[in-house]
Amino acid sequence: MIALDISELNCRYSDTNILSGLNLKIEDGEIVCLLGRSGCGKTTLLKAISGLIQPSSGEIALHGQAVSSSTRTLPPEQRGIGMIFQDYALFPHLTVAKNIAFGLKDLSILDVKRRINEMLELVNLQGLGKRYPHELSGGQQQRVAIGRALANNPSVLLLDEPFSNIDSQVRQRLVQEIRDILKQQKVAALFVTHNKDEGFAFADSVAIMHKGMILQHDRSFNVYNHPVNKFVAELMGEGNLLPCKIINKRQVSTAVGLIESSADIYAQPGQKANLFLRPQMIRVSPSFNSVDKPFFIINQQFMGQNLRTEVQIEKQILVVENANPLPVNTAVDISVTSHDLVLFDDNESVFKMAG
Amino acid sequence: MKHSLSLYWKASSWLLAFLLFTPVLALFYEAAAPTGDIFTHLLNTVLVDYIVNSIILIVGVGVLGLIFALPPAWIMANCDIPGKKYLQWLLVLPLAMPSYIVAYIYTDIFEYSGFVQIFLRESMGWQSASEYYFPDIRSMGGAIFILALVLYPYLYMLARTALLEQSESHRLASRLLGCSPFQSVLKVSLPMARPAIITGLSLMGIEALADFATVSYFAIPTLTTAVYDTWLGYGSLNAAAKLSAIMLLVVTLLVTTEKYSRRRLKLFQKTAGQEQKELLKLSGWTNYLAQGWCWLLVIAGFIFPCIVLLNYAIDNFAISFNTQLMSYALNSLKVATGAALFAVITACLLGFYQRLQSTLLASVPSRVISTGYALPGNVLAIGVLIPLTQLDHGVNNLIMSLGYDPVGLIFSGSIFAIIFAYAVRFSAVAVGSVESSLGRISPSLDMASRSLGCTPARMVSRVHLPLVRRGILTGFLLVFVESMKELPAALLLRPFGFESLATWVFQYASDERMEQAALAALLLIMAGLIPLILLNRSLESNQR
Repeated sequence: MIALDISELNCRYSDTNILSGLNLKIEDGEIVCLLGRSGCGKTTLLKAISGLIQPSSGEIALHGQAVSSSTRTLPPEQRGIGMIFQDYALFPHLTVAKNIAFGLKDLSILDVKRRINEMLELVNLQGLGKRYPHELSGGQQQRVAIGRALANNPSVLLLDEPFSNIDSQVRQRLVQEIRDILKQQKVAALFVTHNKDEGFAFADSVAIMHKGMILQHDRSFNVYNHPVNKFVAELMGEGNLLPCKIINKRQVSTAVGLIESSADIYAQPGQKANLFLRPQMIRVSPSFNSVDKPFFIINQQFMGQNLRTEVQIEKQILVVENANPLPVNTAVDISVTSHDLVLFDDNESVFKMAG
Repeated sequence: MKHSLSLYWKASSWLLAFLLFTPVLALFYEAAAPTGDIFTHLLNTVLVDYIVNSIILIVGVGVLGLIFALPPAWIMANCDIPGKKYLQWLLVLPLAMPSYIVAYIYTDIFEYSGFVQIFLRESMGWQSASEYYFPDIRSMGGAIFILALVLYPYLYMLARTALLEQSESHRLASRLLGCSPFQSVLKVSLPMARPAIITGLSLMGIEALADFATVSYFAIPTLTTAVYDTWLGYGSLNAAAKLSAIMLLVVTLLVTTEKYSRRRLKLFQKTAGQEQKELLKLSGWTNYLAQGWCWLLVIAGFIFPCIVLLNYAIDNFAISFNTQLMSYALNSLKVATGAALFAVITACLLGFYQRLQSTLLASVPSRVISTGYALPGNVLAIGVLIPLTQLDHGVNNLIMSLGYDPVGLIFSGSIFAIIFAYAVRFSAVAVGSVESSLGRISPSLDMASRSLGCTPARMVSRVHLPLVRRGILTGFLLVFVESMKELPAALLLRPFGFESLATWVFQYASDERMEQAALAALLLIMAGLIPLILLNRSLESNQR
């Protein structure tokens, strides 16, 4: 069943459209990452889903029941949505246990106690119920927030940049841990972030948001390898744009030679295009024969897992990932690993299947 | 960074702090002396009543203050109502009103021969007071009402700031967890603002306890009036000192509460988000109620009294605009300028000492002086009188032993006493102002100027002083205005025949002829507006 269904949503502040015709669906138990730069309308979308603002048109439905439209907005307290905030939003005047119990209604004192303990156990904070939020570390506070939001069995969980205030050493572990909790509870979640790596680690699918619209929503792997346009491609990670000419269904010609595609190309032979190449798809090796015109390394930077290498190609600089250090000015040959090539047309969108 | 300072500088900082603390020391020294007849008599008769009255006053002002201040604070922080831009600072203005002026004006209206009761009698056909019930304004209830009306802005300002700083996520979290908007206020917003509310209440409590003019005008015996009576009536410095010590105890209690909740304030408000809040749009009757409540406070606490005063002033312009007014204004000016200069010099001396030494010990003189602000005016006056009369005796004895004629009370009997008292009370204001602008100067500037070859003294004159100029000016202005308005200490310490604007207005109010002093009252109110404008500006700039 579809837990959250947003269709053709428009929201405006004074005279500017913040959300324009936004569509997004989340299945039960699915974790969706909403990825976008700041100012793309992520916060507004969350406010609309939680019921703080009314859309100017379009509809939001939770498990089939419409909660927001231009005519009617169900108040936040009647939506059964859980939310995790960037600043955790724990109530500083209440203990951990009371924070978790805050939203529990119509339960006996015994049941409330039982539920608090269940939640403390779930988020691995046994024995800390009597502490106040300021007595906990950032990661612990985040877990209290998770426990508080899940205590009510929300139909959808919204997470607004939940890991941005967490130290990078702890973050990776916490991301995994919280993903496991959500999966165990089978709760549908919308996870908002501007950090793609968190998105990959945390979510099942990624929705790319830009200027109040969803550009692409798919499995993370697909979005990374088959971006719909240049914006999505670059948001998902660094890459090179190489001018090329289509030779046939499987080959393009570029400044570094012919490149093979593992899948059919939809553009017509002879057509000009831009080839999007991830640095890790390109190989460089020292050039020993003097027949081919060699290329030269102009800069190399050690990045930890690999070496970020810049190679001069005519007037362009190609960024390549390389495992072995090579001195500047080394002459190199360039080869491209065969893969399903990403080609953009003049409008910076991918070529569509003809017809 | 530590810089070497001349010994003179250090020594004078500590000496000043000690000097400004002597009144408190003297007070306890005197209070510890054996009990005289007068205090025993007080203890056996009315002292308990005085204490009870003071407590009722403090509690009453606090409760009424909550009712007055919290709704507008919440509305200004969370709602979007018409006129909000003006209301949010208009609501602070009653703080500029001397309480006895408001008391006088409302008495004039609500007493038996006042406009309201005459209107009621005429329209209902009643002949005498026995035929109907009307609350007596000259009562404890009346005093509580008047004081709450002029003191609520303390609570309003602090609560509004605290509510503004609450992040929207807390509100949204509570709503998503099932609270209605009203429940969210009760269960989250207000409890989270509790430290600020308690701080505001303690400030109101200190001011209510220290108030002399209103309770004296309404003839309600409290600790404050008792101090005044025992000294001016019975001439017993010892009994006055004992009463003052009791008051100090209450003040200490309130200040401790305030300090404690300020500490909690930091815990409760860690993040003031820069996010844009969704302001509540009120509709229908809630909108009118919210606007009505805010405007009622502004009108009752400021606009209406001002209009009445203006009316008095215009009607009596010929009588009140005279050479007396000029000479009293000049007196106020003299005292206020003296106190402000003294306070600012003290503030600079201590501020730079603290900055350049940057040790915990170096902050002690500033902290000692800061306690002065909590001293109620009349307590302070008694504290100042004790060492100064000793000093006068000493000087006169010395001069007489040298064979000259005695010079009289050159310290305790001159405006020196008032200036000294104000320096003790208000130096804290200047210290705070200079300290906060010094605090904004980045420590790296010190390092930069020293590494560029400045001696500490040169660094102070070429880098620090130009940068804290505004702080110094603000400090001067604040002390100046506070000294203009101050009444209880002036009443106890003024030399024979000396009148300032404040004492003059109070005198005329007590004599039921304030119409003739309305011009001076307006001057006082205008002076009182200056610090509020400054305060409001700094609050607004903080929000940006």
